Amino acid sequence: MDPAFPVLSLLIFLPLGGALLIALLPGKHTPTQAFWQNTPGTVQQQARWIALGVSLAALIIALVMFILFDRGADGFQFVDEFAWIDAQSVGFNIGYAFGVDGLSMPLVLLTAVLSVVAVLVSWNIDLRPKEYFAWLLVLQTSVFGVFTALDLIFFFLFWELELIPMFLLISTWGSGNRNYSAMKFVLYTVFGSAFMLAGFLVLGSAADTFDIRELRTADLGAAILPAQAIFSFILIAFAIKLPVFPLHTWLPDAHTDAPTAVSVLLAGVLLKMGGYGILRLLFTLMPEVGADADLALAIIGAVSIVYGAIVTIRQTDLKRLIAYSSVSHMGFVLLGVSALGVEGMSGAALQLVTHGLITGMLFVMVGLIYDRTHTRQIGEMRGLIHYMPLLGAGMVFAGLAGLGLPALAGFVAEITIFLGAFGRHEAPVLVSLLGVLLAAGYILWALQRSIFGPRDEKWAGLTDSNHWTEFAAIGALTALIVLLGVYPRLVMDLLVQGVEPIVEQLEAVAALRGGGG
Amino acid sequence: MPETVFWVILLLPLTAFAVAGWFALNPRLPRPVAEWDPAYPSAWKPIADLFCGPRLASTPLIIALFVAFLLSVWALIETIGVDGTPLGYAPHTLFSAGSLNVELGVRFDGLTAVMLVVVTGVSLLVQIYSTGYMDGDHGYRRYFMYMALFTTAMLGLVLADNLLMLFVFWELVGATSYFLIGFWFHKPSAAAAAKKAFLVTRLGDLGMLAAMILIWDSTGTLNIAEINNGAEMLIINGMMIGQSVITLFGLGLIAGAIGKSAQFPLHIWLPDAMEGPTPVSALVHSATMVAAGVYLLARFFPVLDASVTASNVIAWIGAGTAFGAAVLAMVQTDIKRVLAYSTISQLAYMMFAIGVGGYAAAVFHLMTHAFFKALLFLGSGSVNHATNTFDMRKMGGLRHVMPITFITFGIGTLALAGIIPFSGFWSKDEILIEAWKHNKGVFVFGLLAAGLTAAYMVRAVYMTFLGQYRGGEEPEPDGHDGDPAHPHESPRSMTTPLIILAALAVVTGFLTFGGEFQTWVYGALPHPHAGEFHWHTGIFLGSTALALVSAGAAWLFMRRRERIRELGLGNIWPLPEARAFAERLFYLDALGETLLTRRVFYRGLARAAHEFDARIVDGVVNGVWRETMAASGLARYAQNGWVQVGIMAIGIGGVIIWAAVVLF
Repeated sequence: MDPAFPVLSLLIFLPLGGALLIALLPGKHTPTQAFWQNTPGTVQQQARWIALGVSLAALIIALVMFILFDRGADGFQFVDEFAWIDAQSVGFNIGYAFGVDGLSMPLVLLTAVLSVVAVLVSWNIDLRPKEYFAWLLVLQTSVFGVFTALDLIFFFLFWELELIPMFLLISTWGSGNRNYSAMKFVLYTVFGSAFMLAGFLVLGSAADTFDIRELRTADLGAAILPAQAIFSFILIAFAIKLPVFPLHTWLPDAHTDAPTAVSVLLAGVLLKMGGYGILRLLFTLMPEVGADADLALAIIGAVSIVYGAIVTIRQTDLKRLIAYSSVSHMGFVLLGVSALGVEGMSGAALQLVTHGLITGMLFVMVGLIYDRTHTRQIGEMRGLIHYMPLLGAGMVFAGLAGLGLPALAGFVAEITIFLGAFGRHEAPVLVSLLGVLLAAGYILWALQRSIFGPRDEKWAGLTDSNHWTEFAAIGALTALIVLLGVYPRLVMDLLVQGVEPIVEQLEAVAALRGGGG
Repeated sequence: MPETVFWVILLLPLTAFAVAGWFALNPRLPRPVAEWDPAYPSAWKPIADLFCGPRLASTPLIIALFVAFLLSVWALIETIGVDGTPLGYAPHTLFSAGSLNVELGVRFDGLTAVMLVVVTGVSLLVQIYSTGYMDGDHGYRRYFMYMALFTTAMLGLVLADNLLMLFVFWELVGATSYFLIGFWFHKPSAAAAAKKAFLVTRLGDLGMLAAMILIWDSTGTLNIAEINNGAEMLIINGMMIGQSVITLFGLGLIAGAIGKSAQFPLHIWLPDAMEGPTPVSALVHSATMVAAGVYLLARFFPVLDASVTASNVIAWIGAGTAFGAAVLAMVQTDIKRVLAYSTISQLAYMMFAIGVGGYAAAVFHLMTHAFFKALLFLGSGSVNHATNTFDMRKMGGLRHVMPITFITFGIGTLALAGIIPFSGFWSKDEILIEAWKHNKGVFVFGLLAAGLTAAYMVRAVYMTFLGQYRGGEEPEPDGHDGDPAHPHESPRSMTTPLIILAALAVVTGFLTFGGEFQTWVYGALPHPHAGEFHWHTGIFLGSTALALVSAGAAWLFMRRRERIRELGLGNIWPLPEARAFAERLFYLDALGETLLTRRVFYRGLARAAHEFDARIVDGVVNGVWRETMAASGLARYAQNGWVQVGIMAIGIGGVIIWAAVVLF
């Protein structure tokens, strides 16, 4: 591909363009003529087909990038940049700069895949479909932006942009206590963002640039705050997003009340922004602070793993149960990062990808089951697999992936994290092993109560999965989970390539200290 | 021999899994030939039927396993030629991250060869049997799908050349057995038993996981050969390690092994796992999955050999379990549960054999036990097929109507009880000789367990096959279509495997003559040496006499039990108390499940954590929110839009500024 071709900008803004297109569709939710006047159909049909087309196009672009990605080269690729605000005129540089490296490329692809899945599982949304699909696409643009931004200001911009569609999607199309949950999600995130912005501004004003590539080598001695403070400020935002104990309570509420597709994206990609930020910003820009924070991160990670898993066991709402399990699984990311080595960090990055697929699939399955049973209470379900063999089997498969069964994706990430982190943090790793047992406990017990058991005549009228969109979503996620479990190299090589520069920096810090002291 | 052979052995059942999976998901199947072509030559009909209807799920697996079995036998012959020493194959890198290099490779030596033949052979016979036993079950296709995947995982487990891959297949074995135990998931007890099996074995797996992490962190390798070769000198992969590392590593492996092989205190899952279809028990709970724990310790025997602590731990766990489980087998009324506790007890023999250094004896017993225990389980399934029950109190007198089942079951009983010249005798005596040489305390427990074994098997045979028929049990609406009022011998697809296994239960013991078998498995060790045939007349006489006496006592007791009941002999202290204690399984299940899991963990710790999360962690968040809203309520008055208030505020502000300027 022509390197000058702004493929990345195309990828980022394509969904936004699609959203505009949907927004411009004429008419309300009634049969109407399409804007090209020839195709009849409801607004719902037009909106969902445009959304599917756009997210499929984005997936194809992401796939092409993934294939063309140079696995031997250092640094960022597919870079699009131009100066946006120039130092000469105002005293600091803000650049429009986007690019991908080994760390972000798999996450971009994950986002593209889950966005298609999100559209597929939203196929029957009939409440204000135009707005729904438009906001879904805006959300996609914002996540692409976060994963590819090379400038702190743009990173922040897209980080905040994501809140608007999320708030509206949860509060309008959600269920239960949706207004409370949407507000809690936004306020919690904004609370963290305030600290993050402060940290970014201090960093940027000290180095006269907001470019991540330049900040990496910049001298931060002139900053008005000590590096530890900046690190902690930014960490607050990422810790909320990830989330880790004790900043996690927004997550079960938001997940439970969000519509299925939003839960999929929330668990699948939005949480990953936290883990990505920790690797991309904190450890890349301030390795010397990160090298000191390792024990704290390992302990927080281990506590999140075990505490999250214990609380999960008590959940009675299937969706809430999966939401809490995310707290436990995201603790693995922190544990892996705290290893400060290639093994642990690439394991953590892989955990971001695999958890996105697995938990995404779990939410898809729960969503499809909820569409039929209209309840998520485990106590009210029984023997669902008798009437819904395909959905039941999909749920069991996703559950087994979630509990870290080998040959499925989650295991590879977990074992790599354990192996990588043990040398540095023996006790936290040993404690975290309990998370593996507890995960089996809450998943299998939930399956036993809801999916298995005797026939319940209450559900006799329910239909199994029967629409091509459902088959496509389930099939794609199943295939990817098996593929990554059997052949993790597909993304592992890239992730290793992505974390190696970070580890080199950390090693340089260690060497410097070793030499000095 | 080319490495490809082993990949073919692994891929054969995997392909059968794909085929069975396809037909399990696809409700439409080709109809039997006879239905659409009545004129079809009748001579071909039996063969054509194998490829029609649900058989499309089972026939490919049987063919695949037959070929895999032949290839395994070929491999075994090859390895006999080199006295069981490893054939070297370079591993393939699966992925790497930093210094972590995850490999996939084949480890092939005498131990692997024996396991391959046992696994493919028993699996093949069990599948043939299953075509009869599962005939008509509407989960027939799903059943063979799981069986195929299970066999694949088990073969991968014995072929793996590094600990991580071994662990991968180890967990897959656990997961597929989860599906097999919970096969009849409409029964709540089956769904619960499946979960229990998975969780209890996974508790042990945590130890194995920790061991793996520890050894990789200390040595940078997970390769089995490298770990074994360096265990003795404490230099693995060029890294010096402490004795404590080897000991902890060994203890971690033991934790994994006692989970998988159902040893005390993690034995509680195996009896419950009898909820699965009986052929599943025959394969999973006798020859393969539960034997995997023994295989693991045999595989890492040099590690245990290098650690006195680890060896003693497993020797005593094994000794205690062998005796305790045999006691529990005495009081069971369900024939499968008798066999389940018997399996725990026999596996414990292998465990303590490894603990006292009897590596070859343990593997030998693993093999003989695989055949005769599979035989006994399949026999109990055959009985169930006729009577529709596993409750021995409802059986009796079946020797007349089920002669083949009775004779083969009897042969299995003689082998299990260790009567010369049946296979169990040779392997059990081998173990007792090793124990006698190295640990007299363990030997005593082993000998007592041997006596109990003969007694509980005689009791089971008596209740099942002798005396008067007690009527069986009415079939469930969707159960097997047998007629328990008129029990009958099972079809040929079921009796043929019984006969073959019975023959194996007789002859496999003879492999020990001249130390032949021992030589093969010693080849797997870092220092291979020739095996030898052990004979100890004292132990032979002692164990045989004990077995015969206790068998005779049990027979007499069963025959005279009415009279004994009349005399009230069973009520003499402490017999009723002891019996109640055993019938309540020594309270171990209650302790683990009810007390620890349900009370202490679920209703205690987990509940406390949940309350803490909802009230404290989330409570603080909501509290901050509420207070902020309340505070902003005050500030809201400043923005209420009343012009008068605004002007008044401007006026007051002006006065304050004026006052400030004037005063200061």
